Amino acid sequence: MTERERAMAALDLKIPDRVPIFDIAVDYPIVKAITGKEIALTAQTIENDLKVMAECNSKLGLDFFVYYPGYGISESGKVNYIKEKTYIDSWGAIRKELDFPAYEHLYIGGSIKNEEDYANFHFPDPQKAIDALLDVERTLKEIQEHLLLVGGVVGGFTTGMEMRGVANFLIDCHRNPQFAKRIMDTVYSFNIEIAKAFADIGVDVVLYDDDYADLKGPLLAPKIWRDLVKPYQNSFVKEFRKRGLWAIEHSDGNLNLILDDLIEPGLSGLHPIEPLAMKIGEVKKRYGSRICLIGNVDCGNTMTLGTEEDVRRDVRRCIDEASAGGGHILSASNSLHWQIPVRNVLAMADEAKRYGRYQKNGG
Amino acid sequence: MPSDEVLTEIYNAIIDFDSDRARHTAEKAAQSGMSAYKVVMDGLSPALEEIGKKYESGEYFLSELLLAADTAKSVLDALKPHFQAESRRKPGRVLIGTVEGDLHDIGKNLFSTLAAASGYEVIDLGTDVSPRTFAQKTLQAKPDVVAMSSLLSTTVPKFRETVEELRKQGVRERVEIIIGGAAATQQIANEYGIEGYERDAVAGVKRVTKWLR
Repeated sequence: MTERERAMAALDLKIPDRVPIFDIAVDYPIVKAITGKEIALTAQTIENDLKVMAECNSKLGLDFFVYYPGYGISESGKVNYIKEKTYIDSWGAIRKELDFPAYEHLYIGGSIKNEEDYANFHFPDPQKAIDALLDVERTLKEIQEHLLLVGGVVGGFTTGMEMRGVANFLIDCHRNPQFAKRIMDTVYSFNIEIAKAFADIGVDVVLYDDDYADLKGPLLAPKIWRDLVKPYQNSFVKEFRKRGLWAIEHSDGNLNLILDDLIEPGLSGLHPIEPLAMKIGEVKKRYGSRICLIGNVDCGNTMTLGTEEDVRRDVRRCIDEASAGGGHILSASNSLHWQIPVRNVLAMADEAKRYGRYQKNGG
Repeated sequence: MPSDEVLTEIYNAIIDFDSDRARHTAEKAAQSGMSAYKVVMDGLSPALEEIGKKYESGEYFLSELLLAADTAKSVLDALKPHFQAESRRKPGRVLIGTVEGDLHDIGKNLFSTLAAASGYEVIDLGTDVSPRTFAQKTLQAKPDVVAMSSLLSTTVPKFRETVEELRKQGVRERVEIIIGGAAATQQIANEYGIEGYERDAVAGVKRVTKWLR
């Protein structure tokens, strides 16, 4: 099977030749170690950067390529430096640069302290993000010849938490829900524009990236979450499933109390099923016939602090618990971030390819 | 629930997450001559204990805990000048910070507020605190508990380095240490000889109370 065929089979809950491998992001120090090439993420270098990132995915044996326009720490993402190495990004989040190039800088807090700040805040222009997407359309299409192409957007709940500060936004959801809604409405309109542009250039999958939970459970009471946040996720998934794309939800944390709601609009896959929060075997039993499960290899402790054998053991555990009958895609439980030693990234990919082979009879 | 009327009002305001009412009632209590310490121990603290129970049982979620902490903060702010006037020794002193290299402070802030609202004196060193600073502040402030928080796995070794620095400065044996945050685990606590690990701020403050009361 080709990478694309393998990835599509799993998303369709069928059995591929081996368990496909996904990652939402491969951090730049890892890309450099795997390819020997630098990436800079500037307007001038972006096409080459994407090719290098895709080369890294292929060398590792990943079957997907994920692209987020208008996000991350590209030039356009940094809006306003407030002190050395610390800046407010285009979505109002305050971040601190690391001492080396990385996919995401350290989140410090929100810059929108009140409604007045919000009234004066200029949201990013979706057209600029669409133009940036169209600039790299040809490159993405080349990548798509080999890998399944995923277009990602970050949902309004996460963006709201980042621009207001997590505690402030969660308190807004109780004390000033109209304000929280205004923020999420604006982000939703942006996301719909971008995802339509994704659909127009022919991406295979849309990824709705919005974090709703911590390790214990949802950040908001399910009833409040259903009233306030669920409508955005449900409409987004419905819209793009209707257009024939697969739709994946990414949310950290323990989602057990709201999983039915997330799946309701016809969700294709759930990522990343954090092992400290959820048991993938139980999710498989409850939802395995309805959605593809993506993730669960522990990148918090095992991949970051463990040995290669620890990582291989964790990969085998995931496959044992979730791969039977298809509908499972192996992935780290968040991303292949800079804190993971490269040897452990290689161990994860190698063990997935070795241990993740399905028998000819489909077992 | 407290027996005194004004304390009951503070208790109810916290339970209802009503910051204005909580602050106003706390001011009224202090002006009427009630000690700030009593307001905290007999009004604020039992309310937060009740909310903490609901959080632990799954009836409340993180946002309710943050609302309660925000409401409690309005009481603590209102009482601040009165605390300074009172010379009473609090039941314990807690030094807290996120470890060096880590800037994530939601859990740390929550723990800080809940600990203060439980009557402890809290010295919050903020984020990105080096082992040396933890040790120096421990020498100066003589806390009973040192609390460290970390979300990034790469900063986990800082727990051990801080313990070593406390030992080097000769203050390790004077304090109990507790760790929390997404990167912390019981296994790490065991490995580094740390007395306490808890998964969330409510459980963390409970553990401190077990040690100090």
